[in-house]
Amino acid sequence: MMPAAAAPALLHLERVSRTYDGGRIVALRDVTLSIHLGEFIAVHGQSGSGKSTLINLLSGIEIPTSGVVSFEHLVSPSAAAWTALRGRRIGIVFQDFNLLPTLTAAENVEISMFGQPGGAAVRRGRALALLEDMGIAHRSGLRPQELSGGERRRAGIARGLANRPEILLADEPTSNLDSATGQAIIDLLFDLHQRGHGMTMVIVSHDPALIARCSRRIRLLDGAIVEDTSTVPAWRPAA
Amino acid sequence: MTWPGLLLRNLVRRPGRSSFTLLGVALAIAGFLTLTGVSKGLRDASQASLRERGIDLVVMQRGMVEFFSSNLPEILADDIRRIPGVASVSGELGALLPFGEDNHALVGGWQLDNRPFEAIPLIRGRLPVAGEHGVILGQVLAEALHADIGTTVLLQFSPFKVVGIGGFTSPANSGMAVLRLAELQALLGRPGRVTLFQMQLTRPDNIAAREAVRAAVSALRPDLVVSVPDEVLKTNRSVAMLAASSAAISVAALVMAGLLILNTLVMAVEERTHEIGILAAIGWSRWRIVGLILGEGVILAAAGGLTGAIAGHLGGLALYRFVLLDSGIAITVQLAPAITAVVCAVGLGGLGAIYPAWKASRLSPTAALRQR
Ligand SMILES: Nc1ncnc2c1ncn2[C@@H]1O[C@H](COP(=O)(O)OP(=O)(O)OP(=O)(O)O)[C@@H](O)[C@H]1O
Ligand SMILES: [Mg+2]
Repeated sequence: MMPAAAAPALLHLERVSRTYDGGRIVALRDVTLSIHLGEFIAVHGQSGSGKSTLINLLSGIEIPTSGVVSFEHLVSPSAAAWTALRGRRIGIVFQDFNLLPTLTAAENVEISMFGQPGGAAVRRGRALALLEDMGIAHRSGLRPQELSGGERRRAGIARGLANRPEILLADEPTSNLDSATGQAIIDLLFDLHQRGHGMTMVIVSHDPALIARCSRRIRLLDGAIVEDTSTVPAWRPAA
Repeated sequence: MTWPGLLLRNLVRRPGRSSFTLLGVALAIAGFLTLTGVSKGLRDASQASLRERGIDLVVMQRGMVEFFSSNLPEILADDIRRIPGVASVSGELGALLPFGEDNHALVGGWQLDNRPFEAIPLIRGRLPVAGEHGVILGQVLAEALHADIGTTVLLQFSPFKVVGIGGFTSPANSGMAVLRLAELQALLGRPGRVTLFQMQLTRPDNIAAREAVRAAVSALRPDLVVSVPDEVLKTNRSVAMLAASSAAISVAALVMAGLLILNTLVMAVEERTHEIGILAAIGWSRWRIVGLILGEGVILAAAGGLTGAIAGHLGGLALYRFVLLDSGIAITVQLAPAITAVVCAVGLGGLGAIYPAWKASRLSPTAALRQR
């Protein structure tokens, strides 16, 4: 047994498994993992190794088949508690964009800010500023089907950042991007990580350059962690 | 983007679905309003027409299913006239008769000589005199028949000369024709018979006096019914049946509107499961999602309700103009039922949205996201 760390981890998975099809498909197998405030983590591994499943469990949009997920002191948060966390503290960037087809790029960013302080003008201003950072301000009035894959990807990243989350869970944020744009996005994520209180980052990526830059690397194989460069011992919730 | 802005975008950017729902709701509401207008019009018609004539009580044959089958001897007027408190009595023979080949109108045979209250307000012309086969047309009827003073009209296929244009304003009166009683009796082969007696009282405002007259008239014959103007059509079975069936259909129309909204919203939720999953995944609470669907439902219902209220009003006017003119029934689409209908539509829209909203809010984000 590892000794208990002083403070609770931001996110913790304790012997978590996720299976599908009545246990015939094992997407994630007995994973124990702690994520601490201020870490910049790369999750990599071949296709189908369980990266998306892992990241979805970290935001509560996926529920484990067995094991326990906790956020700080919240052990197995309820669906409503997870929703509130995603509204304020956890930002998500989806592998397959998940933009609303009836809304423009800017509106897609704005919708995640409903329920946060500030009116329509504040939401608008922040959405445009984020799209500017992503280099697609000139596309802000277009709907997803009018955007290229790379532009959709960047609109998705802008939405994930809209509420200034403490932790960003990004599933392959640089795929579909040319190398220059991809590099710019990576630089921006590192910048957000280093600035102020420092946004905690969990990034799923196949990009060797990005993986190399991360302070912690987790490699998955067939749903199990086969490599974790963490130097901090896993946190254990008090018995 | 404001909250209402978001709701409107969701509706406007799905123009097909939104407009069909709106139309469906509008039609249902319009149907409801037109039909309630018919029953209201039925109730108003007799009342307005008899009030305008200055009548206090009407005597008819009791238990008649069809209004015009009431059949009383003209001389009964003499017995009624002797009752204390009766100021005047006048017999009227009524019939719904063909004008020309394809028009119908209400025709009244009036005792034009012995009516102290007959004062038919004439816009033009005069009252018909005995033996000339003259007719007075109400304004609306004259207009519909394109007839004026001097025109000959075919009434039940017999020629009558238009001698006056009446100035009555109630729908029933302005849509009817008036002949001398004897000439209508001859035309219909019902000499000495009338449909009803119109009475004026010496003290019309004294309820006790009026009830005394009523009782005395009723005592003359067992088959008489004496009504105040408001009750005349209510005591008539066929009118009551028509009113009841239009009330039933109008309620069905309103329920239809609610089901339509429900159907659209349920479909909207099914086809937007993925979208709802996205909203849940980016931190939208269950209540905000419910609010979105409810809000869209209420907006659709309100827009459909308002469109329907306007369409119902126009539909009522059209129905009166083209179908019911000869019946003397005005379709009175009024503000109160229109407001009721719109409020009901919005309420049903809200109710209709609760089920799909509840359904949507129960989805787990990944389950919803997997659906395309
Ligand atoms: N809803 C599901 N039903 C059945 N099997 C699933 C489901 N979701 C994931 N899986 C399976 O679980 C395994 C892990 O999937 P996951 O999406 O986590 O992989 P990944 O590492 O993100 O792959 P990629 O790099 O291709 O995105 C795969 O074998 C996948 O087929
Ligand atoms: Mg994946």
